[in-house]
Amino acid sequence: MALRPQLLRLLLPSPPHRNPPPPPSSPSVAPIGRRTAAAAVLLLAAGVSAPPPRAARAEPDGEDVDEARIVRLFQEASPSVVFIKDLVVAGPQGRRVGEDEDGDEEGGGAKVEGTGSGFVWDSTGHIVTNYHVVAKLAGDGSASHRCKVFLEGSGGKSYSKEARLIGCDPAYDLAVLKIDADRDQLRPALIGTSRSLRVGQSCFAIGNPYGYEHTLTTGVISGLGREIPSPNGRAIRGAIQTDTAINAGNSGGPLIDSYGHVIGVNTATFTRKGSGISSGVNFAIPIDTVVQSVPNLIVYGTSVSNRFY
Amino acid sequence: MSNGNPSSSYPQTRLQLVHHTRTRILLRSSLWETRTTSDQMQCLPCGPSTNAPAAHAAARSVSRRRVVVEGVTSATHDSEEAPPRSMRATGDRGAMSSKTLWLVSKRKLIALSAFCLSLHSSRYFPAFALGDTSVKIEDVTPKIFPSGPLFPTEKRIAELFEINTYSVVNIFDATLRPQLNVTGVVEIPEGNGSGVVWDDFGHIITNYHVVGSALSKNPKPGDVVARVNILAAEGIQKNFEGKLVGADRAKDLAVLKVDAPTDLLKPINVGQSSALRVGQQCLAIGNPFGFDHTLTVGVISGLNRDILSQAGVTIGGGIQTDAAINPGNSGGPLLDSKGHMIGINAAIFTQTGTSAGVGFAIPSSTVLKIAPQLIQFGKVRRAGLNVDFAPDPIAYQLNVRNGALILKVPGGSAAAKAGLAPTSRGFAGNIVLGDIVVAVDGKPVKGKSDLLRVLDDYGVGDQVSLTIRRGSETLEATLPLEEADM
Repeated sequence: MALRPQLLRLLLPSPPHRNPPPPPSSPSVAPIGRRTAAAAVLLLAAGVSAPPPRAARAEPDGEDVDEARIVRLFQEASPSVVFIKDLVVAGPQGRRVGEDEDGDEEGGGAKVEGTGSGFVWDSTGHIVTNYHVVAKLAGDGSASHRCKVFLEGSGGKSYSKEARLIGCDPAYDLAVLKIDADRDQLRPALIGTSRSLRVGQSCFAIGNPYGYEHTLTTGVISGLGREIPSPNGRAIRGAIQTDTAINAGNSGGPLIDSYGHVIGVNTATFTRKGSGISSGVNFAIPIDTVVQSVPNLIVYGTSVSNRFY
Repeated sequence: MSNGNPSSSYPQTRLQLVHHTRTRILLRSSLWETRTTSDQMQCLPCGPSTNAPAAHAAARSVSRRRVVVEGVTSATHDSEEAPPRSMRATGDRGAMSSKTLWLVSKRKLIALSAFCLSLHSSRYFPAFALGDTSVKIEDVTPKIFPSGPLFPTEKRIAELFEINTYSVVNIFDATLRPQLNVTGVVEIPEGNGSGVVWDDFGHIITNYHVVGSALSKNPKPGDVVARVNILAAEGIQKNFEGKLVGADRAKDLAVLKVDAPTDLLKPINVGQSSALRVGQQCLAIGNPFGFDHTLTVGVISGLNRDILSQAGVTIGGGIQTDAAINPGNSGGPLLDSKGHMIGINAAIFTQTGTSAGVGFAIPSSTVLKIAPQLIQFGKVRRAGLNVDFAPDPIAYQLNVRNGALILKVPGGSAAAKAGLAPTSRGFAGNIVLGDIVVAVDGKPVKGKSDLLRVLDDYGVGDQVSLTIRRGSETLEATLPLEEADM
């Protein structure tokens, strides 16, 4: 299958220069964009996780069991999912930051360049995400970019940590960040396998579409063995296609099976007009590919194929 | 334990050598990268920079050297912050390794730095900026949780897909061949769509608009209007010519025929769309954006919707669904939870060109009525009364608020034989209202469009009983339906 890079938009939100202020009740996260004349992307209302069901009947039927299982699945998997902000810093060596009164500012004069998702890989603080979410940390101008990771602590409260780039693999759109956190603060994700997936089985995405933190969406696996473009133009083969709603900001977050195991890394949606809005034709990098790549990214910084021995 | 016997000190020494070797390999790797491509040479300081801005080349050189040294310091710092989970002895070995790394790297880095400066490269030492060689691959490889069996609800959907996907074909309009654009990427044209295998003779049902470009050239029956890909065992796709059998723009349906072996044809099971309910689960299989045999799942969101088809007509009785339907799904089936086809996906409401969760399908009852006629006659014979009815706005102006007002009755028609009266002018020039049809076989009719909707369920030759209001009288007229004039 041929590549369609100009039609397949990677899920890194770059909203226009002037972003309308979010409503007071919404999260204070408002990703901003620079040098873009695109129309404002409407903030889609995020799905709120369903409240716990009332006590089950004496003989609950299959659908009640399913609903309770999905609620529990979210509660257990959500703490492993993180919110990632790519920040532009106005430092001594930094580029001049655009004059933007509407920009969302972090403490210390940093502006939010983009947002995405990720998940905790291990207890030592490694975070897996998409390369395209944090690409600016790796390229020219990286000196003026910083990365913050927001994690869900006990009681559902959010706290943030500075993160640094440990390794990246543009060929598979993967990157690893490192945060310093106490071991007991971290809930590593349960890593599954993508080897025996079937079209039609259920899957769930947890991420931060448009900054709405820890959003759960549901769907099925729509197709397997798909081919999508990577940030370096090479084809990523074996991608999982799903109709689970995946929007800008979901990138880097996990695709989870009915047991709460990670089966993929949400990466792209097929879109026209570059809207970044989920079309129901969405893609994830299979976890078997991730498991092959990430340990090498942690130890060596690059994937095996990029090393020269 | 740190005071081992002499034999234990020897293994420690050997381990140091191993680390030393690894360090050398990394240095060599850096050199290699320098020679092959400078784009990969990136300096990524891991700690905050303490350098002041440099205005002179000499100062800049100094700045680079400091950054390099700082990188190494940060690496050591990383080791201290994340000690490996190990016994005390292992920790000691880690510390020794760090020291060795520092001593060796300091000497090598100065030489390498000089070498790189001569290349005028602005990026240095990615091997030291990225990665963390204080940890082992095994330590950061996670435990894999094997997938458990599918739950009953998802197993049912997976099985429905596996059974029905062979009945879904990929269709490409013959006049819109995929072409290579300037960047070498194959564009998927609008002429890509889906279809369903209808019978063992190779008849394929799709939307009129899927092959609309070819149909606009007025092909004859038997002309090739499309290429059809049929899915065979083990994921192989076989390509056939799709020859026109018949098309009906009014219902956005077309029938093609392929000469395919019978064992390759898996006709779809057609279900009943008349008993559908909002909330029922439904599945769409098609080829959105060319991704073949895609499954999306949703519910029936609404019924009796008017579909604004891409063929330029309005189709009533449409099924609305939130299953993700995108361009390329057109012509493919909408299935119920038993795997029966309840509709043909035809249209979406969208402002971006992709699914917003509002999709529409032509109900299977319409397909069941149209497809056999297209196969047998190449066109659809619609049943009609063949009298001129007043359009609803005109009837409204004439104060006809209920029923379809007859304007003209052609001579010799079944309606004339039944004695239906047209609207006429009286002696004084005033308008004398004609007969008003208020019901068909007891089904109330509000106006012309309502009447046409009701007649849609009838075939040519069917007897209908009309309830007619003539002045203050109510009459019954029975007559056969004729083929409708278009």
